[in-house]
Amino acid sequence: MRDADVDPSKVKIERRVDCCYLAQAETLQIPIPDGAINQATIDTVAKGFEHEHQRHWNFIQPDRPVRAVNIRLRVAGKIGHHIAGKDVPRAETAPKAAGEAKIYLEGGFRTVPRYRRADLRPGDALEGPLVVEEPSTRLPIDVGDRLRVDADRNLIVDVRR
Amino acid sequence: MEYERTSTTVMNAVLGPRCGQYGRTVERRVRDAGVTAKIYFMQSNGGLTPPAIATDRPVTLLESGPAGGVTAAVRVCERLGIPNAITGDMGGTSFDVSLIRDGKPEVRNETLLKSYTVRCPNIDIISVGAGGGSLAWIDEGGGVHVGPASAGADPGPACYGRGGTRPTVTDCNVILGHVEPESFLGGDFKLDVAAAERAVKQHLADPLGLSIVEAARSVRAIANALMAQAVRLVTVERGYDPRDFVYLAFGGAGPVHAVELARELQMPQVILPPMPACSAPSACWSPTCCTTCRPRSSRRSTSCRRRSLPRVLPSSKPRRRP
Repeated sequence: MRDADVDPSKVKIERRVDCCYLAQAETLQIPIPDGAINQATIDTVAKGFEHEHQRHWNFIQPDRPVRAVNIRLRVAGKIGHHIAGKDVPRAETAPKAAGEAKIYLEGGFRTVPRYRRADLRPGDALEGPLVVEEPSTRLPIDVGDRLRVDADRNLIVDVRR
Repeated sequence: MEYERTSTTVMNAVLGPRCGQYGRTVERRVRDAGVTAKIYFMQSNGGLTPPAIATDRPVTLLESGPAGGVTAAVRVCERLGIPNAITGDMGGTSFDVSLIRDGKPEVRNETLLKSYTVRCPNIDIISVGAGGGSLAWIDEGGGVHVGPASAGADPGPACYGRGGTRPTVTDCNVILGHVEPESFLGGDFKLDVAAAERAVKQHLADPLGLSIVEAARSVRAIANALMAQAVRLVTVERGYDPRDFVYLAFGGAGPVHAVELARELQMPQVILPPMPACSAPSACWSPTCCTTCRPRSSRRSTSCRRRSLPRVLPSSKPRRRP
């Protein structure tokens, strides 16, 4: 961490414990709460195990002792940051389609507007059907799906049910 | 437990020389190119490590490429305030799915490397043979299948016009207009629609007595079903409901199937990060460079933010994953 110049205040230490019921072969990983380990910590882990066991196997055995098999420590520090990049300002307020695309969507071939991702700006919102293309891939969006572009330029599609 | 430990140690020893050489070559060429930034390798647990440690413990690099994608997805989710997401990385040969729950990737403690157990923390990723280059074929009973055999990058799908004659998922996507032959890779690489149609006609449509479009549709439906099954493996079969998750799609072919897949599984939202085709997107977001290595299949993928960098890396080009 020091070698990677991680800010010590940003280093996160996570503890987890692999637990199982006594005589059970499969373990489940349960987070250990931060701070000193005392009876309350152990109770929290036991409760966490029961919850996870119920979710994973759909049953619990309240009378059976829980065994801690491994205790794990994970030290994580973030380096770098998210680069959203800068956009060249766009003259138009609404995104303009670069052309049309013929594409097989639900119910057959349709001709739909085709947008270039590079022409989209944060805040843009569009309704399907349409396609968004970029050099390496293409995103088809059907009738009723809604597309918007967030501040980081992620494309977010609310999918029609 | 003795078996697993022995197997892990042996695997580490087998991979050592090759990964060590790779690590040293990367470091040397990057330095030769005048880059002074620190170099880190992506690990299978989604974290970074210096080259010296990576070459000592090459088993920690297994499937690190897809793990890098998941780490990047975790960061996207953090920024968007999304606790639960399913990531889908569809490239040329496979579709890799993983789960982010409460903002954290699911980590497992062992994995299989060609039937040998390796015990080492790694991001839990399920992989199915449904990539853009996966071949579509008919079994003896007349059933249509997709993968796991792949046309790979060479000869690649029939529409690449590099000698591939058998139909792939990408060929079917070209026929259905989901992949645009003119603007593929920004128009630098024109796709041969006629070749795609020939391959689908000869190997699928004619034997099945279907039109080319119908045959292509059935292949796309099967690819979608395979992908949906992979998503169910990481959710339903572990007690999670896909409807509670957002779908984060990347890989060159990921977005092409994303919305349809989300609809099939009733996932409410699809998110496409910028530059989704970069195979280990986190590498693009980091000021230091990082590289990934996938010893399992002897394939290597490298990716970097600095445009000039890929040229100096061994087996130089970042793999383009159509």
